[in-house]
Amino acid sequence: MIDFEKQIKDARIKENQVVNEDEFLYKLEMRLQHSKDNRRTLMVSVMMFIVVFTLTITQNGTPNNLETMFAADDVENILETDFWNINGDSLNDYDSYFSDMAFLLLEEGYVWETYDLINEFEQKEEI
Amino acid sequence: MQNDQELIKEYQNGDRSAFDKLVRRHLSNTIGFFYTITQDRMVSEDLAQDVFFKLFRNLKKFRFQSSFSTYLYRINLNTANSWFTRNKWKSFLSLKKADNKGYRDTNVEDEWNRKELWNEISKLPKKQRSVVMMRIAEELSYKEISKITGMAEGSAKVNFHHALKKLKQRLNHD
Repeated sequence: MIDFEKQIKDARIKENQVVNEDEFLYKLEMRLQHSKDNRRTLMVSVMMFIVVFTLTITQNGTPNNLETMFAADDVENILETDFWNINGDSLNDYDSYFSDMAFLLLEEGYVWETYDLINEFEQKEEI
Repeated sequence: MQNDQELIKEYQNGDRSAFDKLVRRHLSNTIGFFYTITQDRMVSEDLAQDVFFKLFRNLKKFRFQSSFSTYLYRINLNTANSWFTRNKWKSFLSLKKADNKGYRDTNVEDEWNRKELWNEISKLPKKQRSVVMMRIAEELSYKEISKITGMAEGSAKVNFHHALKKLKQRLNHD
């Protein structure tokens, strides 16, 4: 057994290892830098995941307002919508509304009502 | 010239150049250890990179309870064991390749060569393999091996004896 041990030890490669230390250290430095970058990326990913997960969890059970905001009561409402004027503000058409209404009342023979309407319009303009 | 402990203390205090000095001091031995096991220059350098990479990350926690060389041997041993585990099949295939090429170590009179020897060592149980690696590749005493591996001196001797017996059988050495 002792002979066998000796033979095994003799089988070792007795070679002087000439090592380029600077190159080895440079490679080691690169590897450490790479590992540092990887760890930073992992940390950011984990943090982002936690933020998204937390935001998702806190939204559970809250009422969904979007459905009520955009829900159409009737299909006809959509079909009858005047898409040309949908962006117009109704306040801008206030004058034409009054003049149309006054003509309509005059044509129908409601003189006093027309008078009241014009008065009301003038009062609103003064305000 | 500063000893290892002084260099480690400097590194722990934030002096990076102290770590480079430590690497330069122990690089040749570490690569030599892995070269004995792997017989491959590139692989031995890669494994040495692994060792010093682990060392860089863990040296700040070094408590000086054992000598630095023992600590480094332990990392070498663990790295070598991991390599053996990783390359079990690979080393088997490379052995076949070597046989086909008719490679023989003419320095050794016996029928087995270095590749066969280390291939057989890789198949040993971890404890036996660790003792054999330390005894053969580093020629350490049982006392030193017991410090590195954490097993009793007697246990190291028994493990080595069993390992040699198995190797002798497997390599058909009478």
